[in-house]
Amino acid sequence: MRGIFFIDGIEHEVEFQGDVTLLELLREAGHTDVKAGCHTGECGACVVLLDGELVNSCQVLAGSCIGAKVLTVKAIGDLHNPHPIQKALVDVGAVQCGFCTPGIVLAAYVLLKDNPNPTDDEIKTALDGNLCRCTGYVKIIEGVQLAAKRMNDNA
Amino acid sequence: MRNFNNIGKNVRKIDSLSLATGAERFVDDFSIDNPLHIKLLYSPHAHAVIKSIDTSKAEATEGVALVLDYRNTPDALHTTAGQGFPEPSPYDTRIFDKKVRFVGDRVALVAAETEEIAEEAIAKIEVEYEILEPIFDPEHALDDDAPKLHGGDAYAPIPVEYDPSRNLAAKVEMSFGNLEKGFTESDMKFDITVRTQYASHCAIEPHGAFGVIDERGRMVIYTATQVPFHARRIVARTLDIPIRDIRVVKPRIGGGFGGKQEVFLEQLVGLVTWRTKRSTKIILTREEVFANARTRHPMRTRMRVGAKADGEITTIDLDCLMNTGAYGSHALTVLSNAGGKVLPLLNKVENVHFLGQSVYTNLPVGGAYRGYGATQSYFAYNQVIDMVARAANVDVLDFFKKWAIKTGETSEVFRVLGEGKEGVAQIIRSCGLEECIDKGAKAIGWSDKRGKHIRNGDKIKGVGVACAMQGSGIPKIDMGAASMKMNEDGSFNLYIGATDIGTGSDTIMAQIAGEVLGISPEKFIVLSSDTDLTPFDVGAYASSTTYISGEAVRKCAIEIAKQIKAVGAEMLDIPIEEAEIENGRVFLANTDKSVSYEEICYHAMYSHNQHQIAAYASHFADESPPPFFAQFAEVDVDIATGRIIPIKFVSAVDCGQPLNPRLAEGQVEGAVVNGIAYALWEEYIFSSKGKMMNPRFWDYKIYNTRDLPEMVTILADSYEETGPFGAKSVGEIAINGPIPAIANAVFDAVGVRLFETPFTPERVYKRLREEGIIE
Amino acid sequence: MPEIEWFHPKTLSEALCSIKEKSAVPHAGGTGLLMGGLKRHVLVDLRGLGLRYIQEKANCYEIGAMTTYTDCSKALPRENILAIALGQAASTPLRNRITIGGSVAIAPMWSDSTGPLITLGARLKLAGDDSRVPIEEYLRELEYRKASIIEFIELPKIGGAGYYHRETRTSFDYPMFTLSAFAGGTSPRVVVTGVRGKFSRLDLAEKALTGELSIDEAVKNIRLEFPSKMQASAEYLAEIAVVEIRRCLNKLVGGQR
Repeated sequence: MRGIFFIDGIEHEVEFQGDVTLLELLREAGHTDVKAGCHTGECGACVVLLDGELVNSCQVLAGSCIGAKVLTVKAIGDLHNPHPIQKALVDVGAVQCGFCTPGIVLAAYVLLKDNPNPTDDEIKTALDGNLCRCTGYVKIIEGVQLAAKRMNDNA
Repeated sequence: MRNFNNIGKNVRKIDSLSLATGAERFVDDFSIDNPLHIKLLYSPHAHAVIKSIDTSKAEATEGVALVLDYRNTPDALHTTAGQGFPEPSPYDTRIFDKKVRFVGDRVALVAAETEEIAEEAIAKIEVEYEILEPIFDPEHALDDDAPKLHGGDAYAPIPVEYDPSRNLAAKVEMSFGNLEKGFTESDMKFDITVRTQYASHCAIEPHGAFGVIDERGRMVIYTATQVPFHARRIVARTLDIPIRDIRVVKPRIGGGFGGKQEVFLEQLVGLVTWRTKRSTKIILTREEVFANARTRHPMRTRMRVGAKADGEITTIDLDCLMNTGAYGSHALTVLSNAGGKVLPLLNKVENVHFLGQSVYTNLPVGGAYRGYGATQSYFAYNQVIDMVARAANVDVLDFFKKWAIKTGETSEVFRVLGEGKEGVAQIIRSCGLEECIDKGAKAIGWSDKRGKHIRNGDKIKGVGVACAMQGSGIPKIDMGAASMKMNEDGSFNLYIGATDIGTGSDTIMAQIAGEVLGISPEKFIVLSSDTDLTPFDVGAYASSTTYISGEAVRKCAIEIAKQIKAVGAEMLDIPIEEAEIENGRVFLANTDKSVSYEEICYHAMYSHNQHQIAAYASHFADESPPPFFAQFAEVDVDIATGRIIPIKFVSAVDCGQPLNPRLAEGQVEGAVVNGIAYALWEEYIFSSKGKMMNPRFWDYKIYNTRDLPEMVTILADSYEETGPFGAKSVGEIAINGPIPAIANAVFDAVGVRLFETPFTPERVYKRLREEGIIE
Repeated sequence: MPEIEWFHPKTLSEALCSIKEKSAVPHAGGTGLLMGGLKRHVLVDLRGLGLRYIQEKANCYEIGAMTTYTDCSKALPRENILAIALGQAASTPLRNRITIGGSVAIAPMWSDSTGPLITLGARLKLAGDDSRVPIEEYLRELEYRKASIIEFIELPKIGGAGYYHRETRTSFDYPMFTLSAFAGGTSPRVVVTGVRGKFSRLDLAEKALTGELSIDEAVKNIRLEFPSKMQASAEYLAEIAVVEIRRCLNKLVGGQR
């Protein structure tokens, strides 16, 4: 089947099978920044924003979201113009192997959009679908708090 | 506190922004030209011989390029353990074997144009098995009538005790003093047996590798590995391909923790690539990572202790039985560490005996896992110490301060117990344990909570402590090397074999080199772990990177500094003895006369006495200075349900001079959270036929953000004179405290000892009932 | 594997037709279908049929079948036990996908929605049928579930104190059992899910809430039967479920005084 997807603002016309997940479609389209950790919706490495909502792309069938707007970490910021969330995570040492980091950035991004002053508990809940084995989460939470503070200071 | 320019600073990790923006590439992220995809057929039986195997239908499937099994693959016995050569692990593994030894052992491989075709073809392979009696219980693996996994052809490449005819994969024994006499003369005796369980590393990136043939016909393998040089050597030897025809590259790695210190996919990729001359790729599914890769060795530890009435321990008898699963990867070395990294802590004990045995069972294969044997035996060790202190009416913190090893002291264990050979005597030159104990106790609120049984409904509070040491590399064995060359703008290429698996070693190496040369770490372009371009390094394990590889970098930078000074002196027309390096310039001492690094490099490359400023250095160490910690757990025990709720966890760690405090803290925090989940929840559930039933995060539970207790990390003020700028390593140690600290906290709360991990609510509930806390 | 075909109906009755006639399977959030492995070959996408909404009416909330767990947990009042339950279930990205309709239609043993919905007396409207089916009836009668699509759920609005407990290992986990209770209106309800038969009304516990029995009397006679589970043995679950029931009753009865 064919369908149009808007990935990071760019229109993609894709030919794909009915059982293909959004994760597979994104990676085939070159978005290796969307990672595959388990394919069962349990690790969160594959999260993207689908029409503004954080979802596990491995749990979304592409056939059910034709025409949708997808945002990956590449839309949030890049090396030359990083988002404050990315900078804050880097500054506090919250990025070790980095495999979970794109997902963390997206989860934090959508949290701070709705809730610019989150408590630690609110951060933990927003990130509760993102597993990390390297950091123990301590500096990740610190990084999101720092990002919130910096974004509010600049607002 | 010492004052450095780069050392001890929270320099941003070199790759952290590119990781946070999704720019970095992991193994699965490379564009490869038209690869073949590998899928594997696994044994459904725990113990069987392949009577017949028919792959014809699979081979005939359109899109299938190659089908492999024991009949058409090299049958060299080897170990998949990523260790130095000759490996201290038995050679008991073939790429494909006629015998299968656990549910999930490999039977055959299909390489096809797509993953779907490969899976389709796998389903068409017909295998007839002769099912053999399996052995699952390690306590009976050594029995005369136990089924035997390995035949007479399996062997140990180094002269150690190895007896597959008895299912004995490894044995370690050492003693000094007089055990009998020690026990007889003791006022108090203690005897506990504890058991720790299987675990999976759960690195969020699954294992994977791909191979390509380059323009000159060499094979290039990109792999998610902690040990690129061992991978190259093992692939060469098992496939009988010259080392010079193989290049192994480590890209970004999504976590390892020991799970990627294993060479078990590279041979497959190498074999298919070499035979077909096509690119080949394999990425394991999460189920395969759980059930078919490597695990933490389960261990039964019995510890008998004799002590005087005042608490002085005079006698320790440590008996470890380790389940190595179907193959003996790391069977000797993890076992040795269960004694070797633990016993020296109480170095004044006069009578010590350690017996370790690793046995084969028809279960998943153990391998390297952060903590590496010490995690398992510290469970017994730290609980017994708590018991002894209580029996002697001594505060356990004072007990540690009095009896633990100190700066300037040694332990007989260092001399006697190595990894497969005699140990290496050493003196402790840095030990911040006392500071760790004091600061940690304060942070947890020890005196306000210990022994107070603070109650809140059904929840009773307790605090517990555990102390430990680890190592910094394997003395006289682990080696790392570095090379550097200068560029015209005063920057340097730094080539290191050392393997950054997310730890940030690339960054701290730049910090070390920058400290020597008086410039910012940003002036170094670090390239690591490419067997064509970087010099050798054993890889990321044994907590060797900071201490060993870091010292190689420091030595290399010192050589560079000499050359820079020589050119600078020539340019300034001064004797070299009067040249000094500062801030990226060479000065005539005590004057303003100077030249910049940039000017020096242009001069050396183009103007006069032309040469490339470059250097190279290796390092191995004669000792392995241990990091130390004191870890404290505060828990609430729900006595109505048995649930342990971790409230606060404090780690006070001595890793010498932390080169990069945030990265060092990150190592501690990650290890602690892994350790707590391992203590409370992680386990492998097996069917009665030996099949692993929970190979998914659905039923294998690790911590997420909402599970965290309050976490405090303290780095002690310490300095190790033999380490680069005072550093010791810190990668593993912090995983060793959660189990015993939590067990000791539970005892503090409810007076019940725990002997089996994970401490699930049901297990604790059963113990509370056994001890009469619950009717 | 045979090809999966998609049908994107323009109306709910088109969707219902294809399910009845072509034995197609409704696709809501998709997480349940993917978990079970895609077996059936025609998927009917329910997106775009206007089923994702929550409407507050005089006596009830009308919750469209495509409303996600996140939608529910945010739109319903904070103390509403359905909001509490759905707000804790699974994880943030999964809560953004799991729909209330999909959750009820599949009603797994470990559901977080079943308990609160039964407790609060929810009723369903199925597509093409004007009646309101009490959720217990829907769950018990296979006939309802075959070849049907839930259109919306009616959640009665009643004041009163509620209680929800989900028993898990770590926090991102499916429950071994859930306990829902509601002590408002004329008849309190206490429901445990995850037992044999999927769910059970605990009339003894309900009697403790009305005052007919003391908490002790009620609790000591409660017998629950669990199947053995990966997370814990049936015996252990039966014992601690009783502990949690007692805690629930202590809280609610204590609140009533």
